[in-house]
Amino acid sequence: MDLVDLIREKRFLGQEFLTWLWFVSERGAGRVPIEGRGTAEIHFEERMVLDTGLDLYRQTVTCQGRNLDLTEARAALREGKKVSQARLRVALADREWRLTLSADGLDMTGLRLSSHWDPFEEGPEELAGRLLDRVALLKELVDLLDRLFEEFLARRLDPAWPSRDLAAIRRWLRKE
Amino acid sequence: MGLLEGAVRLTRYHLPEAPALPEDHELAERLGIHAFVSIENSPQESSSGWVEILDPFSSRFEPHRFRFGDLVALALRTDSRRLSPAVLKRYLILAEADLRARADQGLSREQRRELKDRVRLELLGRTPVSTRVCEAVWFTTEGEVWLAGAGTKDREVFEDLWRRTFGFGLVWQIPYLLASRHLPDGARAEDLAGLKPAALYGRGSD
Repeated sequence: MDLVDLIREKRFLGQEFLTWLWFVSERGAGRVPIEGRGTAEIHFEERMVLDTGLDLYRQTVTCQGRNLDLTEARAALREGKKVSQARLRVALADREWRLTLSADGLDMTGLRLSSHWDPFEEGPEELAGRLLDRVALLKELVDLLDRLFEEFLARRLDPAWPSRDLAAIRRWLRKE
Repeated sequence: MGLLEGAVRLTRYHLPEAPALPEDHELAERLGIHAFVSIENSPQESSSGWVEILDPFSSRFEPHRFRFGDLVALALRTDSRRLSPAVLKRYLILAEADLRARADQGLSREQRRELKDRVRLELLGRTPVSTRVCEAVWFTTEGEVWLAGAGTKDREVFEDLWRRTFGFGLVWQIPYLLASRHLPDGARAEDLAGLKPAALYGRGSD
């Protein structure tokens, strides 16, 4: 199968991951334990995009606004749409990241880091330092998201997925 | 939007069949072969190539400017000029009228084609150049590459330039391929390949 077909056919994995992450975040009031990394704060905020798929009759819903409680997004999930993009705030200890995560390639956009470099220090050494500092912060975020994806995957491939995780997600969605 | 400042737009790639990392001098040589070439004094429409990540106006590629331990950092620079079709059409009409008046007869198809090429080149030479820079880092021990600040077109240029420079391709890290690299203990590749979408709200397959 070539990459374009893989993206189309297996897109649901990224969508289900985002939905599962939203569920896990809400269940823990934003506190999400990550194996080997401690407990991170993960909040879904400001903006979420849901759609019915990539076909000709694709329908998309965008929910956005400050202090969004995502009631509409939850309603869209009940109609069979799936999360294709979500705006997240992730925090671990004194580090914080804000980003939009896409289901298609787990691409990150609008990613803001809590880096502390002075933009007016422009020498080559300062620039190299800033680069390495920001790459290290990004790497930490990518590792956190990978760990979460691995946990999702382990649950998704477990024979108990329908009776345990999927059933819990469905109960959560039925809640008004 | 990039690795050095501001908000980041990040695409991840995996290197499934990367050969051993070349020595620094060989890396520098390869980057130099595909270094950015300016179009400032030529009528070209666009040009893409490697520049130093710390200075997008330099393509010297001294190892300490692109090699940071296990990390290789570089940038793709694309300069382009965009000539609007409406502007080209306007100047072509003027040039045709001028030529017709001097020749006192109609223009052949060949003359029209030559005139269009000449007008286009003249206008391109007068059109300002815009610059885009997309930064990239290569985690050489993990076989992963990140590209920052790139849209679809820049991504295609980057993937092509990467293949021509290093001799092997990049695979966009979509969730399914990430999953196949991180299969949990006891899970088989066939289990992953056979997964079907779950009906999250109580219908269809699990």
